[in-house]
Amino acid sequence: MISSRTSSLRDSGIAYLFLAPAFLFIVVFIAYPLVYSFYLTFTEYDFVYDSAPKWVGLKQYISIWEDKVFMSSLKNTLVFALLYYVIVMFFSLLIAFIIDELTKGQTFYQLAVYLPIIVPLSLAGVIFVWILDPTFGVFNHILRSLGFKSLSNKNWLSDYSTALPSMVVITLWKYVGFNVIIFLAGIQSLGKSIIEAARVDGVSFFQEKFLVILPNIKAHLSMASLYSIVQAIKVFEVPYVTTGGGPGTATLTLYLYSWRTAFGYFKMGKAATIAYITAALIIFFSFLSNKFLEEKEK
Amino acid sequence: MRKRAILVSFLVIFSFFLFSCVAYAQEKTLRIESDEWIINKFPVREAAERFQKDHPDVKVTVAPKEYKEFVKSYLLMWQNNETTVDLGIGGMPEQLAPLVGADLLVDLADVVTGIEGIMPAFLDTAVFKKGEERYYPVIPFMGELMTLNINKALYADAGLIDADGQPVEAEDWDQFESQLQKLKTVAPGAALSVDWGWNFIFYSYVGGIQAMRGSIYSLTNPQWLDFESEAALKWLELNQKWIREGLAASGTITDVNYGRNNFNAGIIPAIYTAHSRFIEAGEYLGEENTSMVSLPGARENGSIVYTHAVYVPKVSPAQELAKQFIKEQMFSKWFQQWGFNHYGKLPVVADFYNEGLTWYQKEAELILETVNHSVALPKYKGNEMLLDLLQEELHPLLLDKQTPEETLSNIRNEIEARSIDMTRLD
Repeated sequence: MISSRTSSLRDSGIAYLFLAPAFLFIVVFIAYPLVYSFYLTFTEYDFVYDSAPKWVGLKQYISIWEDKVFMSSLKNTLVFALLYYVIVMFFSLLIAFIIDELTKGQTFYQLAVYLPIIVPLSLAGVIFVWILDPTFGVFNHILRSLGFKSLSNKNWLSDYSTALPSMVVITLWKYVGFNVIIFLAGIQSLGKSIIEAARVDGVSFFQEKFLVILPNIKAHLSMASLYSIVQAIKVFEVPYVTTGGGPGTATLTLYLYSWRTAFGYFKMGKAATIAYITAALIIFFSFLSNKFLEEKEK
Repeated sequence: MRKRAILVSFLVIFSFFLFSCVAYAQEKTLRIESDEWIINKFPVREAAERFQKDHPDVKVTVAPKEYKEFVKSYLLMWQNNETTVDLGIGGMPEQLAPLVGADLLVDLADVVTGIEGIMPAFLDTAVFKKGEERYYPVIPFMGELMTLNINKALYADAGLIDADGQPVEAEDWDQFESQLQKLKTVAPGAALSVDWGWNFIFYSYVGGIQAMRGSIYSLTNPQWLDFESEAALKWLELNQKWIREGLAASGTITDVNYGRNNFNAGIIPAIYTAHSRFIEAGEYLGEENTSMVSLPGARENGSIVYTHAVYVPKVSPAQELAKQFIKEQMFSKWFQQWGFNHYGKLPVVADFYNEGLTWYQKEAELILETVNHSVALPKYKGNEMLLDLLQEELHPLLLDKQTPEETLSNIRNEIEARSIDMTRLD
């Protein structure tokens, strides 16, 4: 007869055996790269010409702020993040409210809004290069048909004032549906009694949505906010595919600059530093979002 | 019984595996990787079949490689002593500089000496130096010349075709601008597009300077490109002015194919870029409707040539096979001329211009004449950083965000500030 201790040990052993592949994956593909790349931020390392990284302490973290291109990419990332975050949160909430009010075709509209999610972002970028083409693009063609002649020749991706907002539009197109689904789930999980009680009290449409429903879906707001923050700062595919970071550095983001520094210039220490600064931004804004949207314990 | 069945199955599978490994090891394989566009514009697959026919014990595979970022992949792979490729086809020598700098490529000097008649202007694009010693880690297999590709039909509408049916070449920049103004009245789009995208910005920048002053190098530091002369300033002023006045388009700043697509569609009558564009456009606009002219001064001072190259990694186990393929197939007359007869890509061997070219023979003569007194770009260790700097400074200039003086000053200052390594590799 097997003792309970032996049985317990055997069960634990089997459990660890099943966990081992996942653990190995985490160590090899997540933990080791994290630790090594963090080490690289304290080194100078030209991958082509140096045989090994050279320890320089905090030099990368200090000198990065003197890099004009880094400052430009930081500014672009923050501007993009602000524009994208505000618009995506507002519009996805609005769309979710509208779909919730529909009596027919809710599933169809949910699907229509969610469909862009399945299109790879890089492919979306390529498609929008054609849509926004100044000569052949359908967008300028529509503007021309509507009588906006002065705008209909605009090169949206080559113009300094419109290149970054164009990136925002492309990213919005892709991700607004995800937030809509999250918000819809939150709205539809609320008990009807709350809304009926509010209506009995005579609230307006906007009061119902923003003063009654919104405070009660904080968990969903928090989830959508966190997701949006990551998408807002971790911007790479769209500028890479559409503008290459141009014109000039008008659409160069932190992520793209980190990638370019690593794989274009082979300066691994500097590239890792930029990547960690980007990660720090994400953590900082996520913390702010959590603080603001956290549901207080009753 | 069950355990025996498992053991036998394992032994059978293992034997198959072992057998296939041995079989694979016995067959000689040559793995070629090439840009997709090169596979389309040159008979690479046919060359592979011909080579296999001539060498029945060799298997040749041809696979596409990524166009823009392949240098990084190769660098990582070869520095780890691994390779998926024995022969790389495609990439400009200056683009391949990191691979040369990291000493990852086989010296192909013995292949070069075995091929007769490679034109010096093209061969010079591929030379690198170790100390004072010249060597060839890459060999150019096709050439291109920066020139003004034109739509003859639109030139005729603008009254710019002479009595002999030839396009009128501007003798100076005032006349050139006057021609652009005439073309603007007949063209559906802008009169001119200069390739200012990442893939041509170097060539477009120095091409105008070479035409104006016969050199692309700095007056004060001959190792550097020219970022200071009156010619550099004038070339930038002109381009800024043309875009501001709507004579030239700016689309290539973000869409590298903007000029070429609009040219092929008959919308823009002149594009300053690789010569092969007008030959390629012959398919869409008609051979009689496309041609080339030189920028003012380029006939005397020359233009910019660039090439695409072949190279063999040191980690390849099939180096001699790769060299054999280069000699037997890629420098054969049929291979070299096929690229010109279908897409206008220049053969690098002078003898292949004499007969066998099926179209644009007249233009081929002019191209050859210009190539012989044209120059190639230098190869810097910090090429990639310099390329990005050029885009960062030239794009705002072209869109009227800064003056030509500021642009050149910024470039000079930023080369120092960013410690861009201007050590020449050639």
